[in-house]
Amino acid sequence: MSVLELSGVSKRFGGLRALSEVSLSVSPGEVLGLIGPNGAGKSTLVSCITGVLRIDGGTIRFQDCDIQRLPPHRRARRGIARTFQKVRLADQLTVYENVAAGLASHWFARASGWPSVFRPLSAASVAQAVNRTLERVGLGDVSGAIVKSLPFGQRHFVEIARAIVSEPNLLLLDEPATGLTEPERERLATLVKDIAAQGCAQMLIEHDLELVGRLCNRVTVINQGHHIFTGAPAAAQREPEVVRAYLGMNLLISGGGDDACG
Amino acid sequence: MSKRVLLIAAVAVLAALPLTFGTFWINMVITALIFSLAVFSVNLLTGLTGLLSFGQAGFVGIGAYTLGVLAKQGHPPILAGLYGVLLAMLCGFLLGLPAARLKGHYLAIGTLGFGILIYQLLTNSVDITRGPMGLIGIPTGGLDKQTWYLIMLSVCLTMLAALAYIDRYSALGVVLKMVRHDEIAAQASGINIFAVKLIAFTVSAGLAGLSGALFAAYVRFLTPDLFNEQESFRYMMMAVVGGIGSPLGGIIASLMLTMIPEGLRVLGEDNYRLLVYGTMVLFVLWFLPSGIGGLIERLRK
Amino acid sequence: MFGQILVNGLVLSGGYALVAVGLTLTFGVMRMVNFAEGQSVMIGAFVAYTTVPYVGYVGAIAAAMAVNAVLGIILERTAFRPFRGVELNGLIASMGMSIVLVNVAELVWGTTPRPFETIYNETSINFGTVGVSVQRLICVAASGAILLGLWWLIQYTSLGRKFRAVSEDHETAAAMGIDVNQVSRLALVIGSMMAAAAGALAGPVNMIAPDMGRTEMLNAFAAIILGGFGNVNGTILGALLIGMIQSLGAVYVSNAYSTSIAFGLLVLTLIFFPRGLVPERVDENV
Repeated sequence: MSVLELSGVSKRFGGLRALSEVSLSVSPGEVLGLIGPNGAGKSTLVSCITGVLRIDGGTIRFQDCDIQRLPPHRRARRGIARTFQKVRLADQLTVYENVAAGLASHWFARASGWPSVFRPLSAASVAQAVNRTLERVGLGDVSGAIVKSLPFGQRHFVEIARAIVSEPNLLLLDEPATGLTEPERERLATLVKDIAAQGCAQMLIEHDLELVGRLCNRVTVINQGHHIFTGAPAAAQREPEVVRAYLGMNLLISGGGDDACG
Repeated sequence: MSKRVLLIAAVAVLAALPLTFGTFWINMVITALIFSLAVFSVNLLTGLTGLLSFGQAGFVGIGAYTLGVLAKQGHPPILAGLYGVLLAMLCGFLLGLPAARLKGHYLAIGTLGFGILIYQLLTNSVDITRGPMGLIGIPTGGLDKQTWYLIMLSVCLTMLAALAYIDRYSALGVVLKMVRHDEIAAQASGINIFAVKLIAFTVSAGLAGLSGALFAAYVRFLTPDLFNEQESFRYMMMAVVGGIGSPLGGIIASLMLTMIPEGLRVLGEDNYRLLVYGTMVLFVLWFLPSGIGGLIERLRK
Repeated sequence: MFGQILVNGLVLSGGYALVAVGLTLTFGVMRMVNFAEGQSVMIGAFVAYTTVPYVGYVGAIAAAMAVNAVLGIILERTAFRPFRGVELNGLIASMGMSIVLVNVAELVWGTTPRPFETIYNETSINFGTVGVSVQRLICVAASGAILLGLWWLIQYTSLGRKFRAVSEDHETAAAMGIDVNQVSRLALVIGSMMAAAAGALAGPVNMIAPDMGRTEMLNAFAAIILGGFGNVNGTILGALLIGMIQSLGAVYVSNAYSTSIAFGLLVLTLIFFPRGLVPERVDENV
């Protein structure tokens, strides 16, 4: 029983076909990698799932409900969370405040949502969720720091914390490893596994194919808006169409095999 | 502990102030405090939620004229004032419906247009508002200046506290700031940005309407020119001089920009007064880009 | 009757276009709205008024443009350059400047409106049944010529290319070696000079007063909303539309509401076209 199911999704921008009949599915606890060359349509696909873009064809089902008519904030309240390729945080606010913003789904979704938005940020319910999440992502000791003062890599983790603080059912990670140091990459890998272990479905867009190979149960490869392969990461490496698509790019999906180009 | 004592002492001093100043200055202070409510409306809308509005004077005018017209017809002033605030909120809601979808400069000009339309309405509905002839003799006399001062002080301090709470401590503050900083991220966190903006417009208009109602009750004489786009600019300027996100700065700016030019009335000409006004605005912008509020923040650290 | 409306409309449009194009140019290059532009019109009108007895009408127009060029440089330095990046403050600073200018003007020339007499006001030319004052004809012709000149400047000269480059993208333009400060200064200078022309040309048609800048600004704004911020051609068309509608409205509806007509139109446009009639580039990358 999948959490997310895309069937024949298409998206056009004027005359340009950004996505053509893309299908995929993600199950609870699974990590699905979404890979493909630059400009393949990966971020477009994520935007279609979150509702920022309207699709022109196909269906999107989330927890067995058709969500196409729902605006982005309603999809978020139902349990779809995401991080962004270019980190989108409120630079002037503290880590705590940024992560607390992720609880907005809860503040507004409940019937008693209205009064609770006036409650102080330091209220027990908010503090518990935020602090617990900060511990989880390894930011427990910078809770009061202004985001602007944090190194770039740490900000990725703040964004992830904001995304998972509301305990979503689906987490979309858009190139979370960009600009991370080696130890930070390891932290990310552990975190992704931890989130999967809790039963959350994840979709990981990444260019770091080593990470993809390690973390993903399956990968979906798209190229120029078309779906060209779905299967195990190691199998993707052998698929001729995938290789063709990546010709000229580093191809390195670890599975214990040799390194391809450097 | 000592902070609280300081706060109480400050409030006590402020409350006792009228005993030391002459009538002229008390009048200035009261008027400045009434205008600071309009500045607060800008703090809420622009400072906190990031929405530009150059039409706030329209809502002030609606609040003012509703109280004026209804009070002259015999309605109890407090009720008339309440209707004024509600009517202003309704208009804020109506403005918000299209305005919540506008961005940046389009929003600025769109709200400017809306404010001007309200002004034109007030000027041309001579049957109701008496237009440029002015609405005279609003029956809200009977309170002396000391009482007015205390009323305005209480109202302003309450609003100040409420806005400070929202800004610094409440979950709502974070929601508004997310809408201001990054709409896409806000949506992805489950915030309905359209609804938030609509509510911001409505509440801010209500606050401006309150300012207008109190103005009408205090000054007891209205002309539409008091609510034209120049006045909207004035509120904007006071807000920016005070620090766009700082209501405390807003009160101080309102006091400064009302009292200092007025005190220079000794120079005789109206124009000198306004010249000083404009120059003060420029000086603050050049040397204190975050306004008075920014200065206060820096002094705190 | 129709001829009269047409001419009146063109006179209004010409004036609005000159002001609006200056505004849109400044906005495109600096991303800030120049709230002091209306006062540039006023100053231009008064400088022309003061110098006409000495240098004749044409000389007066030139004098007005010269003074305003200096004004433009001052504005750029005081109200815009310090606030690059904090556009709201720049906007407010130009408001402050606007107050300063109006009150200086009132101190020098007083607050009462005065008629701006030129010899051209007296004479009329007859086109069939329509009598048009020469002054109005000059207005329309000169506005048209100046706008044409500007259009040519933007399309075909290297300066125009620089304007377009900076309007598109500040950083890229700077990286290509364009001096953004200089371009901004020139935009403001040109805008102010055009405002001077608007004031000097339209001044004799109605009376002039230090607070005349207000209505000029408002109508220019309406034109820019219709035509698109930063879009010179669109703004000219927008000005044409506003001028014509006001001219029609003054006759068929009522004079008092003519400003309302422009702004009612503007508000309606924004309701149905939240991004303006002329869509700007979409720069929201998700």
